[in-house]
Amino acid sequence: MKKKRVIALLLLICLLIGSLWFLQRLFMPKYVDEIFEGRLIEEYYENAGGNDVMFIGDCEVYENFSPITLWEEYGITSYIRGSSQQLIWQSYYLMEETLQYETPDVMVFNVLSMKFDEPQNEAYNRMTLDNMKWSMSKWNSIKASMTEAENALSYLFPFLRYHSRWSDISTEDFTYLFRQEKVFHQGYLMRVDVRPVTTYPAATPLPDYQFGETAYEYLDKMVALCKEKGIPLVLIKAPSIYPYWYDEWEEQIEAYAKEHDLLYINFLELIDEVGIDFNTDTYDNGLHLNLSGAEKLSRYLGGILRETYGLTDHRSEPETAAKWQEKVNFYYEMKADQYRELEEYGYLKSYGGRKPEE
Amino acid sequence: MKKLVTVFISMLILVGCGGGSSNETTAASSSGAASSSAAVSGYTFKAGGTVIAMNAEAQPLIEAIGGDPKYFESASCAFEGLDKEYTYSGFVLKTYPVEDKDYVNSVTLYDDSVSTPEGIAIGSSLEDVESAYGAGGTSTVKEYTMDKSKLMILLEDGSVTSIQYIAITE
Repeated sequence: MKKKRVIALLLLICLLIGSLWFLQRLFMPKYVDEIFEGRLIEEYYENAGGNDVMFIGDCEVYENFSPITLWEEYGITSYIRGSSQQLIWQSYYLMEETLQYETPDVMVFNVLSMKFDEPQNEAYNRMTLDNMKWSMSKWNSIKASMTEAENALSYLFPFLRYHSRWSDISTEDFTYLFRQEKVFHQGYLMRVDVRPVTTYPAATPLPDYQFGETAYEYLDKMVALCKEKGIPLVLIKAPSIYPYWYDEWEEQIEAYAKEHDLLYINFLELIDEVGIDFNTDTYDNGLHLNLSGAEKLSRYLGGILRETYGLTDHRSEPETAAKWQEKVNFYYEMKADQYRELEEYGYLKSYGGRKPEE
Repeated sequence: MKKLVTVFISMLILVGCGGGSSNETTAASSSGAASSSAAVSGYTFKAGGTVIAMNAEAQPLIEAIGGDPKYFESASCAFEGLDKEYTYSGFVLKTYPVEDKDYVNSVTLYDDSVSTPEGIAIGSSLEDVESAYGAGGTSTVKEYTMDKSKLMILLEDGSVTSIQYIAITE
């Protein structure tokens, strides 16, 4: 009798855990029709391994560099572990986590996030953290990222956070319960549309231009981690005209790079050299490059990476080439589809575009 | 067994009642203390005859100011909605979106063709600033808070170099 009760109790516990797990999967946002960026972190895991270059950072990496171009032009394999408003401690812990899966030849980090020295916004936190696989890196990233209003329990059990989505549950939540459709190209978010730069934003004076201690702490950790693993760390500033990149910030990064013997490339100073034309190469008035701009930038950076670090051209390796050919096919399929939508609707209807009149 | 089932159902209900704010997902609107019916409070800037309060609905103010400002907009990393920037003669007005409306996020004075209602402009002295708003802060950064607004005045060598009205949105 006692044995039966124990078995019943165990079954009940399993049922409870299973139900909670199922509800959690159901209620978590799927980021299917909009805000695709919510899926960036998750998509890495099925593409982990074999990447010679890893990009880490915010939207200035995942919207400005094309790994497919790096492959086609140089045979360089790469992945962009980017996410929206990725904070520097999140970048560090993603870097740490990535190194559990692979050891790239080069790490590239975009320095814009040095401007944030404390937690910012739960919505962005969730997009970076919710779909990280559980590890100490994730746990430490959560602890470093939480705003005052957040609590760790809601990250351990996201259902506590998302249960209020009950009224928003749709068939898509069931369709994508256990699977996702591929959206990104080795972490790159493609946009072929064009919204040119018409004005440049004014620089609002700041009371203090000094990057914070926390920002420097995590940059130091990145440097140390890469050094420990024997991986060169390259610092970059993407050619985005907003948020404004102050001269005082630039001076600090230049000084830091010099002190730590790091290659630092500020693409804002190389716009003409790269060949970026803000009349044709941006889809949002200069905040991010579109496909045309991203390919130009990737072509330029790829040349530097190959020359500086002697990266292997993998195009002659049959297995790697076959794997990447699938990625290339998907890239051009999406490119064609995006141009088709532009022709049909005047904007990227299925890809988060804005209607022309907006 | 009945007791066990009761416990199971109770736990499911309790979990469902925990944490989180209602009707808000991660794609919820950005934070803001916006008020479409805000009485004018806090520090305000006057553009001609138009009083600009922080967190006030922006469109009526922009229409009232008129003119032909230079316009810049920036989308956030992922979410919908645009931060907008209107550059007028002497000042820049920035807005933030909440749902389908824009609200005043900041006003920055960038030359001495305009001044605060208290008479402080680019080039004013430290003494003038303290006389108008009070001491406190440092000789290079003065921050004054009133209601949901902040007035930040930056100085260099005893002279004002920047005046910013900033909305407090949290």
